[in-house]
Amino acid sequence: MSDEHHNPLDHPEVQVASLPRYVGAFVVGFGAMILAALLTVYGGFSLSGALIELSVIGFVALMVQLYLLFKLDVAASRMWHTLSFIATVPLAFFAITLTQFMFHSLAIRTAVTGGS
Amino acid sequence: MSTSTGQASNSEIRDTPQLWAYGFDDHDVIGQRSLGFWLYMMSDMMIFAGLFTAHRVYAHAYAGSFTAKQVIDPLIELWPTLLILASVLSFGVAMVSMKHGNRRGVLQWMGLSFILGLIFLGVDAYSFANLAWRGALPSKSGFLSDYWTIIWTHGAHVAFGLIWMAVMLFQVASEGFSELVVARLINLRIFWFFQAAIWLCVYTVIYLLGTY
Repeated sequence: MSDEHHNPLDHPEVQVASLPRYVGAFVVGFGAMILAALLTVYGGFSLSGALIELSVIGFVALMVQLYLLFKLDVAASRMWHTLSFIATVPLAFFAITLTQFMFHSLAIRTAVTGGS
Repeated sequence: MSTSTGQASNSEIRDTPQLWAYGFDDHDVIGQRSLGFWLYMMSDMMIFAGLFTAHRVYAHAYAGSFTAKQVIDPLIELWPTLLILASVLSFGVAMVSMKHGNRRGVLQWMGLSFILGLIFLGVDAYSFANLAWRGALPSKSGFLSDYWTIIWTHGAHVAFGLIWMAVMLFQVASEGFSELVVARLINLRIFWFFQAAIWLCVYTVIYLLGTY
């Protein structure tokens, strides 16, 4: 890929920079956080409702950031970045959920009083 | 792949699909470094996965001390959110300037990104100095030790990024856009953009969900 790129500024990693995408990432990211903060403070959600609402807003904001900032797609110059990210996400997910599951019930399974 | 003398020209190697091009000395330095650093950032993400796990476990482990609502204000914490996202946007504009070969633009916008990141750290430091003054120290409870650890692990990343940025400001000013300087800027871009993505997770999980 690089043998014709004697000028480093011609490299695809440099040329991928885009002002509209970076502005979009800022607007969507900050807008989503303002919305989530207002819903948290004034929305009156229950814990389960807040969990769903914040998960959806946080997930959308994060995905938009990842796409617009890192341009994670299947283009030839980006596909290995995208693939390694996709391969890492399940590791993070299982690390969080399985560990939380183990520790959530730790007191019940180990305490003399049964966690009460 | 090779000639009778065991040597191959670059044009011969380019025309022949192969797994490993022996003797081909025109490596894609920027592409290799970018992918390698991206893989490092994926492992860095696992550090935060561990910290978020600990937070879910210790989220209500107050030990009779401060509760989350006593130390967290989601609306006030929108300010550091604005600062880190604005710093990332400014760094992005610096990368667009680099794309157009504008060295002055890179220095100006990266300088602004540096200042915004520094203010972000200052706001964090002020907020936690206030907590320490009130006695909400990490040793008080599982929740507080977890809270301090997550925020300052991210803060340490930002501080490291600022040091890196200061070095790159000097290198861009002195060397211009050499291949190595461009490769380092691309890696710094990955690192700095990643801090914004992580902060969105920190804000959502710690400052918003944490108040329930």
